[in-house]
Amino acid sequence: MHVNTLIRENGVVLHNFTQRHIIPSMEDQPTLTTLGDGSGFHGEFIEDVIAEAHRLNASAITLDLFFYVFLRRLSRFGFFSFGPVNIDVRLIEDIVEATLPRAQQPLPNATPMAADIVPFSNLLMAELKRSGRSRLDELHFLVAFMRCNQGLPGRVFGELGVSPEQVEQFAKNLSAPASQLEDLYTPEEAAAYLNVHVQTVRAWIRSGRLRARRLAGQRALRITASDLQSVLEPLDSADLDAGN
Amino acid sequence: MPYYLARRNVQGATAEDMQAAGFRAYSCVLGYRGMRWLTSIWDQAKGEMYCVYEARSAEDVKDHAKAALLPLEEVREVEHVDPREYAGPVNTNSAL
Repeated sequence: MHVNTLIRENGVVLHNFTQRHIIPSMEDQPTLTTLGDGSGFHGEFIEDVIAEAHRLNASAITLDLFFYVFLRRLSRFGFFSFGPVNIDVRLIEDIVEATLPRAQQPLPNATPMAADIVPFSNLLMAELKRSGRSRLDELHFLVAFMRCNQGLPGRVFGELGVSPEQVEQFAKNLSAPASQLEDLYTPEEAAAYLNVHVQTVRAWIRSGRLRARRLAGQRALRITASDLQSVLEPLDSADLDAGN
Repeated sequence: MPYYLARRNVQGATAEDMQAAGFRAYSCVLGYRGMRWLTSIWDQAKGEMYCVYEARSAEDVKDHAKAALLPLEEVREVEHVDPREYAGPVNTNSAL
C-alpha cells in the first residue's frame, strides 16, 4: 500500500519511509540551478515559514516545519530533486501536518521557534562560515539539514544514504564554468581524433576498453576527452626496441 | 516608531553561538509588524549583548526574544542620536 494512503487512513504513521518514496539517484536532472550561488534566499524562505506556521496554527516553528517549507519552496511537481537527493514533498507535508504541535487558540504574536531550531541554526551558520560565501543560500540550508541528524531531516537523509559531500560536489559541478567542463566527443569525432574507424571505437565501447556515456533518456553516446586519452598508452623503451 | 535597547547576558557564548542567535533573531523579526533590528554591540569582556530595535512596544521586543530563544535581561526605550545631524560645518575627521 502507498505510504500516503496509509497516513491518510490511519493518522500518524512515521515509520513508513521506504526507498520507493525517497529515491537517491545520480541521474536526475537538477531543478535548483541557483543552489549555492549566494543569491540570497533567507528572507523569503523565513516569510514562507512564518506564513505556513500561521496557516497550520502551529504552536512552535519546528525543525520539521523548516524542512518541509524548504523542500516545498524548491520542489517541482511535488518532488524536491537535486542531484543525488530526491524527496517526495507530499509525503513530508503529510507527516508535518500530522505531527506539528498546534496551538489551542491562535497565537497573539509571532510563532516562537522550537528548541530544535537552536542546534540547527548553529549548524547552518557553521555551514555559512565553512563555505566562504557571504550570504545564506539554499545549499547552506540543504547541507545543514543533511548534517543535523535529528527530526524529520535526520530520518529522511538517514534513509537516503547520501552524504553532504556528494551534494556539494554536485552543486560545484553545476556551477563550474563551461571552460572547466570536459569536451565531449561523439563516436565519429572520437574515431577522427584517434585516427581509427568508427566501428573500432564502437567495438572498444562494447568491450569496455573505452568508457562512454549516454545522454540522459537518449541512445546517443558521448565520450569525454579524458576517457579518450585513456586508450592512448605511452610506449616504453622495450616497445621501441621491439618496434625497431 | 520608538527605539528599544535590549540587554542580553551572553556569558560563555562563542562567535558561532552569536551567529546562530543572529540567524534566529533576524528570522523572528519578520514575524512582528513594523519591527526592525537596527544594530547590536557585543561586549565580549563583560559577556553582554546590546541590541537596538525599532518596534511598536517593549512587549514586542520581549516577545521576540522568547520566540527567537534569545536571553534577555531588560528592555528600555531609548532615543536615537544621529551623528550626521552634527556634521554641518564641523570637521568630523578632526582629532580634537
